[in-house]
Amino acid sequence: MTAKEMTFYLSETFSEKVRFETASDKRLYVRVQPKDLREVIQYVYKEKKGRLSTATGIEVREGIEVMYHFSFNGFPLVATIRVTTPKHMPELDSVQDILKGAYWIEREIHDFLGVVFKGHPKLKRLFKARSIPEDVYPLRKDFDLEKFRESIGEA
Amino acid sequence: MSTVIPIGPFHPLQDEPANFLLTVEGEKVVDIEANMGYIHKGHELLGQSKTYDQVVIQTERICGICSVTHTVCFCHAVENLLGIEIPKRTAYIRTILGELERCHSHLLWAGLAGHFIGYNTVFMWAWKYREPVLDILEALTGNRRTSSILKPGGVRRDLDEKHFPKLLEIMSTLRGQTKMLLEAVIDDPVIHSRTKNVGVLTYEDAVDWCVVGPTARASGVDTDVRRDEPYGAYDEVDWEVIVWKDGDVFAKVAVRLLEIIESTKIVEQCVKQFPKGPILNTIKQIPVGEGIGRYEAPRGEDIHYVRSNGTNMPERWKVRAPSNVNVPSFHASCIGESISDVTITLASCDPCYSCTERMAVVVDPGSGKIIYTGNDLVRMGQEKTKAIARELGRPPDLPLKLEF
Repeated sequence: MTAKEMTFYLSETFSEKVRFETASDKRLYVRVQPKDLREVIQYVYKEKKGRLSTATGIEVREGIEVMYHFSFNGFPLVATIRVTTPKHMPELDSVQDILKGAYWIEREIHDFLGVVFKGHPKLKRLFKARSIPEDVYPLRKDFDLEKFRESIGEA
Repeated sequence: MSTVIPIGPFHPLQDEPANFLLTVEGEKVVDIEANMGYIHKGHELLGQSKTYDQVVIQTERICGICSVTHTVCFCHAVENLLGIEIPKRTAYIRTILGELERCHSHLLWAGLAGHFIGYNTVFMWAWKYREPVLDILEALTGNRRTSSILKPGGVRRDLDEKHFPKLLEIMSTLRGQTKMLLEAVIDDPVIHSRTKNVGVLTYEDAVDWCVVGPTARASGVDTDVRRDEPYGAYDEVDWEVIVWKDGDVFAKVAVRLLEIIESTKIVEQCVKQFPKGPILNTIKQIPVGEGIGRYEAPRGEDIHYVRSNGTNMPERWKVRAPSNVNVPSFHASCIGESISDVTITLASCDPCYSCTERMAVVVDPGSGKIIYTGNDLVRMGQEKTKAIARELGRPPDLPLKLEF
């Protein structure tokens, strides 16, 4: 399956709910609204046999963007499902009940960017050091390393 | 009544720290929880303040074992962003280095797995076989590991072809040695009873937890980036993807050992077809955009995501090492096992914590009573093997034939 075929299947099933930002025939970038996220991920995982490789979180101007990268066994395609959530209240629906592969990565994004995944059973610290307070998120743009080191007495 | 047993954070054999809390009832494990982050180094944040050329050097230091893996994967991501191809000779150089890395990584694991079940001969021999692979890597690149030979668009230095006869010799010897190790493992009834039907990860669980690499292939999931998205020279050489259906520790041992044999074949073919030509496509500027690089690491699919904002530093660089998805599958494979089988099950997906995380937590197990230390668990694992060996009337260690 190429990016073109995947585009076809997704637009057939979801029509206006998905917006395409194709990069090449091996990479596909799709933007969805937060409310449609679970539906699209369910489709890609269950119907198209995608494997959630990982998810990437990044702070952008509009809010916090989370990208779910799906790989497929047997053909060279990575389909990325992109979703943006507002900075003042970053919330997304958890998908870990659809596929267990999202269990750790959602905790990791919560650690470093503070996105709350609604419905995750154990959204607690996984990788972030205990010296970093719960409400400080190192991958946010406003994270000041020098100030942080002063606050924990390491400067 | 359930009891909580902590393993780690300093696991006696794995040289990297991770803490597992096992909730047990009697001898059976009923729940498992991982506490990670002991060696989180903040690579992703650090990389965002380095230039692309500096990040390459940094990626090599993510993991001591997979230094080629992460570097090539980052290069793939940058090359994907730019939409460029690499020279053919470079593709072959990357393939040879990648396969040599796979050989040494699998042998390192085979040795550790042998020690976990109390077969110290396997440990000694596997690590002895590994040594020539590291020696030839030193001859080819100038360093045993972390050779700093790669960069986006190609390689920094060419390989010296005068070392190729020695490389071929080492590969053919290694193939013989691995076959002998494989036969010894397959023939040994004690290893059978210690690893067969132990720590089973079913096909459904493997798909659900999205596991990759030998861990997935031992559970019947046919996945391999080298075949699915061929990079380097993999579409120009003959090799097979090894898939076993059982999902137990035994299948994982067998898949890894068979993969070493495939790797030696790939290296031999690459040396025979080694093309002439340039080794670098110079990159002048990195435009605005994003790229995803994939690479089949010894432990499975490695994936890097790079976003550029047009400057000489990446806007975001995401690293996802294979252990990051393989380690959580313990939730599925350890439940229901007995305590003495947990060490080998935890070891069976070849966890590499440096890759997975990138600081320290001491967890109070609450009301749970600490009854075993990590050392005790390994000792229990080894004693179980000895007991089975006595029952079966076998020697207490693997009898290897010293023939070649």
